[in-house]
Amino acid sequence: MAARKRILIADDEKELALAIKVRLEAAGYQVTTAHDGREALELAKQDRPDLILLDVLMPVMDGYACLRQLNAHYGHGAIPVIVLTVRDYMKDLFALEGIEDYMIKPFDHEDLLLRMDRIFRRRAERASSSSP
Amino acid sequence: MTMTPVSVMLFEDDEGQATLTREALEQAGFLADVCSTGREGLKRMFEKTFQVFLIDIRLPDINGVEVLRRIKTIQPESVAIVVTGHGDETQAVEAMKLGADDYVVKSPYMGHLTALPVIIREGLDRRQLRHERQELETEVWEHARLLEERNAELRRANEELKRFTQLKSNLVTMVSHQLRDPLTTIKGFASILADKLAGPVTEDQGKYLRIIQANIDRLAGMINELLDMARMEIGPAQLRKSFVDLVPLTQAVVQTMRPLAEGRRIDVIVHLPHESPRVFADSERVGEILLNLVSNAIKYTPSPGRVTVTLEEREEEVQFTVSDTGVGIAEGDLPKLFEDLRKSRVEPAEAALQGLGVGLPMSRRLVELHGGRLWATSVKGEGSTFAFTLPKQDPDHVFRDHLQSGIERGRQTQGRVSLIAFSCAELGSPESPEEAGRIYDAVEQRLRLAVRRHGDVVLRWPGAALVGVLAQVGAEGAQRILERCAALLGETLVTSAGTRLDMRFDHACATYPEEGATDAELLVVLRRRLHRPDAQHASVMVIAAGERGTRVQEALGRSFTVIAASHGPDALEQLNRKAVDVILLDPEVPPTNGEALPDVLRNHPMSKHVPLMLLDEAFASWSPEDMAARVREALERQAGPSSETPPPDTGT
Repeated sequence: MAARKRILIADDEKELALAIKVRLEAAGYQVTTAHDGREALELAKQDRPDLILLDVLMPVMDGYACLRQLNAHYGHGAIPVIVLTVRDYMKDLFALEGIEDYMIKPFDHEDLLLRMDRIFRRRAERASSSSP
Repeated sequence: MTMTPVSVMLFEDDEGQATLTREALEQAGFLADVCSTGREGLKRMFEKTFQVFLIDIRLPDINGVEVLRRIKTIQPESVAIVVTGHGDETQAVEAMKLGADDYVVKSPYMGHLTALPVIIREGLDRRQLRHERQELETEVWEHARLLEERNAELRRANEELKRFTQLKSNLVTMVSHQLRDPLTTIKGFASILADKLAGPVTEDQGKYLRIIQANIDRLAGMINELLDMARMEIGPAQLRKSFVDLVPLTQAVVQTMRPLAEGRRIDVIVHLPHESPRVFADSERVGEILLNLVSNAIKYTPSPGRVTVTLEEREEEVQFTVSDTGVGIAEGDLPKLFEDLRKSRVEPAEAALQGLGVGLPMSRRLVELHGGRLWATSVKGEGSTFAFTLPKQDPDHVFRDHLQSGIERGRQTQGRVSLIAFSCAELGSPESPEEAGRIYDAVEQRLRLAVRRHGDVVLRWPGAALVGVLAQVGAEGAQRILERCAALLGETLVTSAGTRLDMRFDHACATYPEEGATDAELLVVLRRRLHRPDAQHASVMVIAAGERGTRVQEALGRSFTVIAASHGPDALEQLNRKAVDVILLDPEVPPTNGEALPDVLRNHPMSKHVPLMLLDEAFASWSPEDMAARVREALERQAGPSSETPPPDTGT
């Protein structure tokens, strides 16, 4: 059986992150949470996650800065990132590269799971087609 | 015409004349006083009020003209008529200059006495008219002043109102954003409970949880409503327009909605034109509108179903159409969809469905702000179609418009307007236009990220360079933004292609009003700084007539792009349309409107920074190679002292 996918949730709202964690663990993911951008970055550097759920507005280091440093560390778009945001930031999201998807708060957990699933499926397809 | 009799003072030293004149005046209904000397008369003025003064120019003590001057100083509104003898007309003229209302020449037989009352009445009438006119003028001035005061008050009130509206919008936006985090947490845990992830749930508990969830969705709908309300007030000025490629935008929106569609087993079919239409619009808003239409279509269509998104380009507009195979809407209910949320009560279930993008009333308003239309058609039981159009505009026109309105705004607010530009010489050669387009797209996106404030705009300048128009940004600010963009650009070029691209982007900025007073001037400055003309790309204007002109045009045409003009007006006309790097002028070309052509060119905004070379017989007798070398020298001299562009080794 394939190893469980590791997900890093970065959101300064601890309980918001907890709710997602409970949901994702129930869906079979292994979840770590961080509550500011720097913590997220450090955790991601220590142990490379398979996907990151990233809040935009966070103390210490915001989502954008965190994303930039992640890209610098692992390579542009190496780790899929779903940004958790309020809707006025859409333009920036469209413009920023390296984001796989985004969720507008408040979102359905089911929707989030669907999107994550899709990302993993796509990545797996790409991996198998490039190295048959 | 006057109710009370008019008092006349008569300065007259001849007793006989005085008596006769007084009688004539009294007969005509005037009150008359006689003074035989100037001094006496001037003294009497302070004892009694006179409306009219008849002054004999020859008085024994003070000269009549001097008496007149003093009267005019003391009583400027009075009517003063000078009485002269034959031969004293020059003095009469002087008196008129000093403000006399009229003059009478004494006749030896006293004939002038019959004319006197008429002359006095005329003088009084003129005086009255002048007085009335002055009063009117004063009144008009007073009105103007009051109006100006009221305008200033209105302006102040208007500013205040704008500030409050902005404050309110900000507040609503802030609050509605901050409500989202706790709501997300509540929604998350409610669904965790309802989905029995935290243990078994009784039937009643399940029922109550569903009520909680319905109300969470209702609350989410209200927050969106609140946000739309705050944004409903936006005007055209708040749109952040730029040139938007609609195919990638449509693809991005549809991509976002795919998971939802797949989850609901809805097929999303997209019809896109081969060539991506480009409109001048607020990409974020257009994305939201489309997202709203597509997400609604997916949500209202029973599964399995189909949603079709079509983008069509027509001559003057583009049209987005989103059709579904949903339940449809009764014709009578269609207008309700577009009703302002503040006026109509939206059912909670419907509100909850407006999860993404902006609501329909807001969408329609946004489309209309762009100069387009949004409408819906539907057949109950078969499905609905929502469509909207956006007008197409000529990029060059839009660019100039923006530049001009930016400068106009700057002029009104004493503010600055800056242009920043990026250009890549390597991309100018059309070896791989696709690759060039892709790189420019990336650059454009970066530039837009760095330049995202109201009133700012990013445009692709005809001639492959990118220009950002920054409102209210001075030279220093523009330089900073330029550097930030350049840094971002380096990142993009490395990452977007995966491999390092050895490509140098020239960048430059120009600021109104220091560096140019009109859009044309700013563009010339910018072009000059941006583009160091090299031999292959330089445009040379040859202003010459006849055989010599033809010879030089042919010779230079081998090395440069030659623009030929046969006379001054022709040259100016072409300069307005196209910037050139060097101008060669035949001294035999006649002056334009009497002004020597070199002077005209030195003052013209499009040519004043351009090197001007003399095309005389000596020049024309050189070989084509020598001519080209001379032109190249002039180009190098021009580009040499400029230090706006960085040395090549720091590029990329």
